[in-house]
Amino acid sequence: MATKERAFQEIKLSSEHKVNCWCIDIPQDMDGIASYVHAVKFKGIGSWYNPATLGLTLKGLGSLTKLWVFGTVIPDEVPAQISRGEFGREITTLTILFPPCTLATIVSMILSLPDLKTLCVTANGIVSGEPLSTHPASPQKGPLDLLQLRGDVSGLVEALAKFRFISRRLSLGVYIPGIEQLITCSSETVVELNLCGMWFLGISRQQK
Amino acid sequence: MMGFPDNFTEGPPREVIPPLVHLPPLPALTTLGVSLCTYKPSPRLANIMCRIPPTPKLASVTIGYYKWFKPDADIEGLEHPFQGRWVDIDRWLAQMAGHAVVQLPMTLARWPEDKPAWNGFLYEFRKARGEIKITADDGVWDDDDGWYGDGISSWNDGNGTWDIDLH
Repeated sequence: MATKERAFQEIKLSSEHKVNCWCIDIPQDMDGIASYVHAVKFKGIGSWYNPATLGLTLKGLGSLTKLWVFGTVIPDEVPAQISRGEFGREITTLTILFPPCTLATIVSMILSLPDLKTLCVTANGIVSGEPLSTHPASPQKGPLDLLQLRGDVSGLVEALAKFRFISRRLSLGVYIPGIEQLITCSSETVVELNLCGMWFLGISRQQK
Repeated sequence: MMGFPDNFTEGPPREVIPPLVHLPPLPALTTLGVSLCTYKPSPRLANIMCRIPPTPKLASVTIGYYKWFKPDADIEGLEHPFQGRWVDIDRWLAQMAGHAVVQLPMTLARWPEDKPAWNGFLYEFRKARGEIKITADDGVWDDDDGWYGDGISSWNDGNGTWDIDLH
């Protein structure tokens, strides 16, 4: 693999300013740098001055297969744009860490990705927001390769069970209420089950 | 003689036992991993693990602990660490002794060698000719994936990740 391809295989953007720099500078590049990017990591963008920026960035990354958001807001229009096929249809790995957005947005984001294979969510509580029933449910096309949940992901477990998410590999924090539902959903397909006994984040030791 | 209530005479308050979970058969399950924070599995962890119906395809059970787990500190005051919920886990494992190998990290397996408790550790499983493999300590459970998800290790060390810093 060429050096440039390797250098740009995975990029991280840790502020809206850096995202804007990427959007402004890279499209003018004629070497196709954006097409080298297979993974993008957004970190610490707790609010967007221009909420359209995330969508515009993803739209410019035609080879993107891995999306990673850490403490970063996912604007509501992004899952809608993905659902409409504007971009991101090739994303197979979604990692959401400490999301400062509502449960409905997270669930919409997950459901918008038709070829999702790996889903990892770690949270210290998720804001419930609007009821989930207002969001259209699209059936999962096939089992995930990996579903990993840690911390306080209350609400998400119920949503994933409601939408019958199944996975070949499950890695679950045992203190997360309701994980039995997810194990049950995947009972016919699960080949690997990891039970994580750590109680960190919003889950108190008393709940052990 | 009138005594104190149990929770006074027995020291620390009794743990709240969570309600038993109900799990369906997992016919395709080949690999099970559990990670511990202490020598003593939590009621919730033991509850879920032992409620998995015995599955004939299960080939590997890895019992790990977190890299920051301090065995020496944790073991203080525990005369018989491998009793209680370990007995439940042992009985559960013994049902699959014919086909499942149990892997233990060296620290977890080695500590009790000079203690009477070691002789009883996974006794039923060993009695049923179950195989135990001791693995190196560097193979202990590292939950970086749990904290940070796919690939955060490259965030700080520049391992293939380009940090955008154009201006």
